[in-house]
Amino acid sequence: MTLERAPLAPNPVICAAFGHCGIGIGAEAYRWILIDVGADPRRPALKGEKEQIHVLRRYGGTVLRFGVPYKKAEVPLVPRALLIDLDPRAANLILQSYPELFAMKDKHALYGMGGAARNWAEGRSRFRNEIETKYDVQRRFEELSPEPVRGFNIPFAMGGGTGGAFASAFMEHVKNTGGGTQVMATIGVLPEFGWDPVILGPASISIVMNLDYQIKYADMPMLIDNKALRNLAARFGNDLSKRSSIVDELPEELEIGWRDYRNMNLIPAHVMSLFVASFTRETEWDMSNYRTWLASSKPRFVYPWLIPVVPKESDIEGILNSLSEARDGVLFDFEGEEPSRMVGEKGSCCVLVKARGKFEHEHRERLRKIIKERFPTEDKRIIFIRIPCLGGEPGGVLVLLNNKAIGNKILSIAKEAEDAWDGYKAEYERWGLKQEEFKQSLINVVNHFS
Amino acid sequence: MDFSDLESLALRLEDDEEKLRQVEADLAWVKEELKQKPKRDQKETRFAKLAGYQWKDESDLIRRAKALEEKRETLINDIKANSQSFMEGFSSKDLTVPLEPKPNIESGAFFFSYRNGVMYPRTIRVISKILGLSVPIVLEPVTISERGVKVVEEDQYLAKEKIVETFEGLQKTLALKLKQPVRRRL
Repeated sequence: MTLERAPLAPNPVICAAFGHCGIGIGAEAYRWILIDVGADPRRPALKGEKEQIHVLRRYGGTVLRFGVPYKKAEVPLVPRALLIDLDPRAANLILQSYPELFAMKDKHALYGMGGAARNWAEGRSRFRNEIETKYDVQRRFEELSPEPVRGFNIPFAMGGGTGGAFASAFMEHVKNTGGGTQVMATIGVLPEFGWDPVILGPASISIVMNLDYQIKYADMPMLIDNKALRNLAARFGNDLSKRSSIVDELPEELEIGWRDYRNMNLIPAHVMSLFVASFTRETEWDMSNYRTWLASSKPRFVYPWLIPVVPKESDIEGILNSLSEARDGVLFDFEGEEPSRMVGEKGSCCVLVKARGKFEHEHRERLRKIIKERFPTEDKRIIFIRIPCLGGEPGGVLVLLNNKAIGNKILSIAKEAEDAWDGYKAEYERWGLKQEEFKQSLINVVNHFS
Repeated sequence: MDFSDLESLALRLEDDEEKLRQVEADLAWVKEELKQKPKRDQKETRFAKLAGYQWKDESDLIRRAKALEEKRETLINDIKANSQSFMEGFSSKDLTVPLEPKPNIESGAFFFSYRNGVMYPRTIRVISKILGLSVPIVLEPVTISERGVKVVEEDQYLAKEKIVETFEGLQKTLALKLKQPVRRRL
């Protein structure tokens, strides 16, 4: 099928999803994107040139690729997704439940030999032994994307063993083998202690190590907090339950895990769809621009503010009005502290505005005022990026905030990790994480977030 | 506070730690003796009876044990207080690290020695011990030793920036250690 009027697609971006949480969010994000496109998320296929142009205008070939045509010249849309886990269950379940979505079958997945025992060091060691040395990871990228890969979206949970550790080792792998040109955007999910099935001390150690790797290797590290997600999922439960989710079509006997996180995963999926749209659609922004934006920031991390959390309207007026109805949400929990007091002087933000029609000066000023009231930021440090809203899809605003307000929470986790280390030292050293390395990472993280 | 003050504190700390090790060794010996005491006393008493004299315990072990316990307690408190002062001093905003303003080049790296060739072995040992690091302290690309600070950087300006960052990192981590344990809301 040849296209006469197709816009030039940016180079491909692979979504490398790690662990149960990362796979859940990554797969959900693809479903969100496909629904945006107007495709059937169970069997996304294009029926003609018109549809193909339609899709290219939305996401290009960046996060989706066109597969081998079916009968009647239907062209399947294949996610450029790699699902990686030590325990094969999560990825297998997704692949088996959506055989026509993940049409490249096993090429979408990399498995290890079973869980990492909630131990970051075991996860890293086993990524090196069970993934890096046994699979040709580079070849897998090429299979998903014969064109040169320009970047990676990497969702994962930070408090467990596999997601955080594998993502860390993966980032290092990409930086050491990719020539330094590929952009890495991480979507790290902080656990809610006392609610998520994580162990306080080891989870804190895992978070510190993972943060250090993100500081070293990620270009656009984004932090999302499960406590905030849980609260938002409860607040917007009705609206979220009306949205279609990958969980809805999984086997009914799977109650634990997937269903508990259904609504929670839909929220970061929305964030990812807006984030991806900021550089795949017809905008003046490129994925690598995020790298420059954050290059000299301290901390070099962002956290998202979604307006609204569940999209309905597509015009900017409606989207801004959702704020007065309190339908927005910041995906970070400040543990009772008032973030406006902690943002620091050099905070900045990137405002992704996906809306139909014009985005007038007056709208810009209103949005700017709202942002500044909550997160005091200098006018000149606010970047607006317009994303076209196409077809019948709803719009939304994603404010990616880069400021010091997240520091206190991270420092309290670092303190927890430091206090826990002596007790777990032997267990970690057994898997190759020496005290020296942990302490160096701790100092780096403390310095970065102070 | 500067490195000379820290070195004096570190000297007291290491001295007290050495004394504590000695006291603990003595205390362990005395305690072992005390364990054996009932058996020995019994034998001494029986022997004294046989030999026809009145046996009197002159070993003084209980008094010695008590004295050693007290000494141990005092040393632990002194170490705790000095350690606290050391951490507060090192993490204070007024900390001065007396480095020569101009570095030498040593095996392709910038080396900033301490002023007037002074060395601070104890300060470096104590910091590394508190933070759980080895000596010299290596925080890429900076190495802090008793003689000075080495930075693997191409530019002198960048090297100085890295030194500032590294010392800030050490200071903030020590400050975090000084904080009370995390208390979470219920």
